[in-house]
Amino acid sequence: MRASAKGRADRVPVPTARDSEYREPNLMGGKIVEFTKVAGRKTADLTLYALSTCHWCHQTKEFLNNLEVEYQYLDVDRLTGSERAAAIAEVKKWNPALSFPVLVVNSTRAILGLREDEIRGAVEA
Amino acid sequence: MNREREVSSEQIDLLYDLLKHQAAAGGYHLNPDSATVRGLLRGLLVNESRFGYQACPCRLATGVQDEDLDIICPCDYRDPDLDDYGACYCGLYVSDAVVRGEERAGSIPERRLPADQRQAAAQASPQSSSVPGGAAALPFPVWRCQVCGYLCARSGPPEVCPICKVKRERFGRFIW
Repeated sequence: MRASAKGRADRVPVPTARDSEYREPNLMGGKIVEFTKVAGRKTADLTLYALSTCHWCHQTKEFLNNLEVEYQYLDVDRLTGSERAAAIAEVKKWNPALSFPVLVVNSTRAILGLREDEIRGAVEA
Repeated sequence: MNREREVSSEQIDLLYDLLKHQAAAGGYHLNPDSATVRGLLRGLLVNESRFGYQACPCRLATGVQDEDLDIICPCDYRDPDLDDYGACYCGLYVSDAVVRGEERAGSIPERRLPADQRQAAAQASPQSSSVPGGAAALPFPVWRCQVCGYLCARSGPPEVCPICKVKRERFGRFIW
């Protein structure tokens, strides 16, 4: 509560594109939607559905970055029109509540929210 | 949507100060982790530049204000989530027990119903009830703030809730 709003530790890093990121189109619900691929160790097949404004989604990306694993993500709030509709339909398949982040593992199951132990378990399995 | 302007650190500072004051005045608490708060405030400001209102940064807003009214910060779900989980859904607000370190805020499930169920629920249970005798029994209707529960008897809702500072459109007619 009393923490200064101006301390150095308070600075929130602005999300920036990493050198190891590149865009790749995926087909989703008959629509082509560009995912951002993050290079890393190839472990499980990881797709993260996120919101660019969401602090916990950002933390989840950071967590995956720190694990140095390969994954792809999609910021659903940045999409418009039919791409957005296709993405929402896809997220609802995994999570009818449409909350974020949703990490789909090997196209078989989803981890809802920043659950570090579960994510680590899925990656190291 | 790609033309949203960059949020400056100074804008975050200003909003941080404002919300700190408002929270303290209303008996609420911002999350003591300032890096988390700043991350959330950045999201709120991005949403404000996109939509004209501060929709919850951790939820997918539609951009249609009437549909997003319940998730404009502070959202309609903040107070019940503070009661049940010690923090609101995004973690911007926490309970007194969490601030004092007596409890830890846990993971918070989404309380907001999906859009179709939300509309059905609103129709099934009207927000207002009538009193015997109808309008004649009360000199004024009673308005309820849907965020904090503040009640007031006046001809219309106030412009701003005196407790939680949300705008007039977050009030519903409670008794008439």
